[in-house]
Amino acid sequence: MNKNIINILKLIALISVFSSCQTEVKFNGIESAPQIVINATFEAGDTLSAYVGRSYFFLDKNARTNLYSSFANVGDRQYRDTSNYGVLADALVEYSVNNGAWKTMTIEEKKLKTENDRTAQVRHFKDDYVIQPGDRITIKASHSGFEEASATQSVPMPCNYVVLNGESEYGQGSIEILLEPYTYKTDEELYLSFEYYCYYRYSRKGADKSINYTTAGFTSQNPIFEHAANNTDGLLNYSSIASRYMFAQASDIKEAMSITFYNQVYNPEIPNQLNFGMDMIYEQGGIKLERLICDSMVISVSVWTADEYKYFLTRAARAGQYPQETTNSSNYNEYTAIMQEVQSVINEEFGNEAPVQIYSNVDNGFGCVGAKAGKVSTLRFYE
Amino acid sequence: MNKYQILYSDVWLRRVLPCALMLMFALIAHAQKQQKAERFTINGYVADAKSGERLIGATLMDTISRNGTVTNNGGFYSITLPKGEVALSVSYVGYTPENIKFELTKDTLINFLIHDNTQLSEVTITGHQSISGPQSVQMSVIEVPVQQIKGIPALGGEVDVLKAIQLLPGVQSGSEGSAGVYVRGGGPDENLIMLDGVPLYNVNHMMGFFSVFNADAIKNVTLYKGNFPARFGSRLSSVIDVRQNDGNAQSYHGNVTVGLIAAKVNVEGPIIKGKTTFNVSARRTYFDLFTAPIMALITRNEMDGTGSASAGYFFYDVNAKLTHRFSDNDKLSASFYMGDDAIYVHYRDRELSSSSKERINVDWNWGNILAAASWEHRFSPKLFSTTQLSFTRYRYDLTQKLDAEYKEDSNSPAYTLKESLQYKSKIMDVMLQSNFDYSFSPQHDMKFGVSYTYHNFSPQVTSLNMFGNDPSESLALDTTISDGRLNAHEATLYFEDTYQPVSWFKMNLGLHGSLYGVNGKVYPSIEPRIGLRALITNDLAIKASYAYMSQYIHLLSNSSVSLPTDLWVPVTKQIEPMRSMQVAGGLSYNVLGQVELSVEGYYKKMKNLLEYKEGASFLGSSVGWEDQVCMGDGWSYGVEFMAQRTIGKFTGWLAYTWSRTMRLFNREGQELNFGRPFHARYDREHDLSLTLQYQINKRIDISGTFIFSTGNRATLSTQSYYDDKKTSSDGVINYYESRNNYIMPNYHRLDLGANFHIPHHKWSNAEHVVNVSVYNVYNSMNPFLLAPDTYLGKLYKVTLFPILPSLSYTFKF
Repeated sequence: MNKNIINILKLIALISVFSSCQTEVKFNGIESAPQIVINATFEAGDTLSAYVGRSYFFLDKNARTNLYSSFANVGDRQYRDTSNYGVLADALVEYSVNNGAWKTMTIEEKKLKTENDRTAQVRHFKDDYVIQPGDRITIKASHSGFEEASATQSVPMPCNYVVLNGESEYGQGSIEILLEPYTYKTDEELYLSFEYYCYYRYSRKGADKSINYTTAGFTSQNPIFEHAANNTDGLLNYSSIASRYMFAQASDIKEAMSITFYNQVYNPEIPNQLNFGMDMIYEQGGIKLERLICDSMVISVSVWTADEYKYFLTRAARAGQYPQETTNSSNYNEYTAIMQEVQSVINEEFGNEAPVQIYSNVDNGFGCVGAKAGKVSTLRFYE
Repeated sequence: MNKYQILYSDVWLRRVLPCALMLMFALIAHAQKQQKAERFTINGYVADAKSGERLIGATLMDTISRNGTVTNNGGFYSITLPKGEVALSVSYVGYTPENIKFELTKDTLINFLIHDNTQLSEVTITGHQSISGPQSVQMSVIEVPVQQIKGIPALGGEVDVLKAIQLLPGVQSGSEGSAGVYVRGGGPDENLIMLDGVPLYNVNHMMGFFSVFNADAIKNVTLYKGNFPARFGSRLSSVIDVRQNDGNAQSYHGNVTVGLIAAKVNVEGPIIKGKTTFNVSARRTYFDLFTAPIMALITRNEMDGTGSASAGYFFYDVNAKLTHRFSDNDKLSASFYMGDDAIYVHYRDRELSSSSKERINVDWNWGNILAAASWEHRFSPKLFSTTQLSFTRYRYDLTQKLDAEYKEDSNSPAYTLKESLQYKSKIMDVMLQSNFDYSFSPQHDMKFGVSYTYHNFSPQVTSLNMFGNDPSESLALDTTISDGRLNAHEATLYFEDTYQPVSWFKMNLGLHGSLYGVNGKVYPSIEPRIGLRALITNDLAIKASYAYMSQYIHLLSNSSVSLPTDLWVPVTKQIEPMRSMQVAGGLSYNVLGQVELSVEGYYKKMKNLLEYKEGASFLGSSVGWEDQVCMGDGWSYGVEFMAQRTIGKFTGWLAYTWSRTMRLFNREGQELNFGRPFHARYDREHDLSLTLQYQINKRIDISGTFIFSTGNRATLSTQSYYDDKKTSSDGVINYYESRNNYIMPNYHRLDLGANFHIPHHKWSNAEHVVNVSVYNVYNSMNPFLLAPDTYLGKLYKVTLFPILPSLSYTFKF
């Protein structure tokens, strides 16, 4: 009897060891049909350019071959082959400006680009038309086997500001810009991008005194942190402000200084309290101001760099307006920011937790068609 | 108005509340009229005859007048009956009923000592009326005998209270193996889980695979999944009321268990016989005691003796209770719980050539501590009170430390560097509450009480210290970054009356009022609760209920498993309290006093539910968390069936639930799923569980559990495409048409277990118990998650627990 029990236990143990923990399962949902993808950003002053490609069912084996990065060797050099990436090179792509006549866009020549050129653009459909502020542009694409896809977008009016001050010395500098009065809506978003690490503060001095405040923050991580620690500006000094994010990489504690500060809104009416608001979203070296834009707002930006860079760029751009019935992913800038989060979120969540749903404003297709109008200023260090 | 907008409960509040109040006053007036008849009160305690342990939820019924009551959490009962002949029947799950007949001529004190019948060799037919049976007005409540919980085959052989609760109708588990409880479409933070009346904030060990409740320390477990009596509040979905044993008042007993996962010990007994008792339990996992030294040994060899690394995980908990009975009028007790989970990584490295060395320690601890002092006092045969002062705290603490000494070569001066990073979070409550039971008349059984809770939240504190003596650069940093402490105050007041105007009709009317103040903002809530019962026959009743609930705290979590980094945060000026309204109706049938059948249907609306926004990061996001979440609504409806047998040698239950749970997040700027309704992650249409236990003889008992449910929901992309705007490396986007759009394969599993009781050869009261259990007997490959492989174009399911046998040994004395 006892021997039998032991034998049974042995058998169970063996089965346990050899039990596989990952097994194939049949997809029993509805296999959706592929659609045309249109991606474009209509920027005032630029010529028309759009990506037109196709989507694949997520379990289609061809998706990996046709969508993901591929490289080609020419001689002893490796190039990024931009000829694939789902591009529908023989699609019919047309556009119309302000409900005018339809014109056909043509695809770029096939190009091989260097591996290191991360900005290498895949083949686009292009036209020589120079985009004007206020244009309303419709783009449509058709291809056999797919439904015709189309999208319409309006180009915003230019984003104007005046550089009030610019100071620089070796390794650091600051710039103060004044938004042009009475040209911004209070609910409008403004996108500021900076080439390098910087911290900033901006003052809002609108007609309504009750909403005056100053905000300070950092656009990137170390080494700004260390530099800010010695800053005499009360708002910028790290010891007097709270942080939204602060977490060191467990893998290398020496990187514990890699700290990202996010925005704090200082309300002078409650001097001892810092309020937190989602008034801006950060991208690498950039700030997006939302809900806080007001007339006559002065933005001060300080830049510090430990590198040998001699200048930085300030770029202010207005995002295009998008349909209102969209989700919180609807905005173009937010959309690009979210894209960066997608992979990490999916990884953190064991692959099945709430992923980011991608906004699309393309009818009968996927993709996002946006528009913007911007202005660039350059401040040179050590001039 | 949006077509999906939920019309909410203000209408209910306006209409139901005045009606309920008017009805209550009318009933009290009616009762006062009836006071003219001469009547007396019988009161006392119901306790286990052997141990003296007072029994919670024992039923007393006068079979002549059909009036009845149940013992409260102190084991006290009070029933007021007309003068004359009385036939009292006392029953409790697993105990032989006591019947007593006498002439009631004055207020009478009777303490019942009833006998455990689990060791009887024959099937005993008893007429127990449970707190959820036809005689009770309460619906949507289930009492699970601890003895049954202990008999259920368990993962790794570790008996788990919350896993047993997952087998009940209307209750769903989260992922495979996890102890998360989802009641009638609510989230895991919507359950008020209490130990001796004190809330516990984190009820999980090992990321949720085990709960913090050590079954050895537990006396009673009751689940309320709707129609909360007015004495409960603060949560939307359920109340899980877990009570600890006082300890044996007559003799010393205990047990020691060694299992595959943990070892545990329990000792109980009298300090002063019949007066003062203690009960202490402790358990600890011990994998790390073996794995950490082995890992250190292996890494030392791999690093050629210049260093080593060790890592481990363990959890432990300690339960203790001390009770002193001054008299039948007064009892003082102190409860204590402490439990922690810990992960540690210790790394040492030394460079032979330069004598540089590094020492890195990572320690991550999280857990609860709970303490309570309770005073039970009988003012009169009719009035009984419990006053409790309690403290509960949950915290986690992540510390990383680097202690290094660097040298260019063995002769050069050393550069020392010390870094420490600490990341902490805490929630702490101090609560004072008084609860009263008042047996007003044969028709009225009242409860009322008041409580005040001071909440203290420290959602996130980060400290960074760094000191170095590099000659080229001085390094000294000592900073603490925090969003500060947040204090909240919560006051509640409740009143409930169980009124039985005629023998076939009973109702429970109650009001629960609360005020919650945080950051200068005060949220009031008045919550009516109504329960109705009409007897069709003595064994068949029809029931209906209505309940309105509010919840003032949220758990920020966006993971399918319980992580210590989940943050408890209070309501704020922007984040309003969660609210729910639930209506339910059903039938309760007692078959020959042996099997209780119940069928219930429910509809529940939930408002101001929280979810993380798409792509929000959860780690360390308590500062500004309001911007990372969105608020929405939800609704759930379903039908539940249960057949439960709790007496005799053959016990168990069959539970089936058909349900649907939806979410809608369509508020401006807070949309999820493009503002369209979507299925909740744990929206499972069918849930079936069968739990059986059979005592073959005094030596052997066997048990089995079978579970079948529709698969959990997952979100799978429908299409993939290239996006040249995307800045990540591959540029490929997966397009998700809707949230939770895919149903995983069905889940089914069979667990079997057996206990072999072997009497000790010398001590008559001692025995050895060997438990053999097998989790997932037929090795069902149940999906924990789905993993698409886009290279192969295939979809895979990942199974967490295949067949898992376990063995444990217990010595009982």
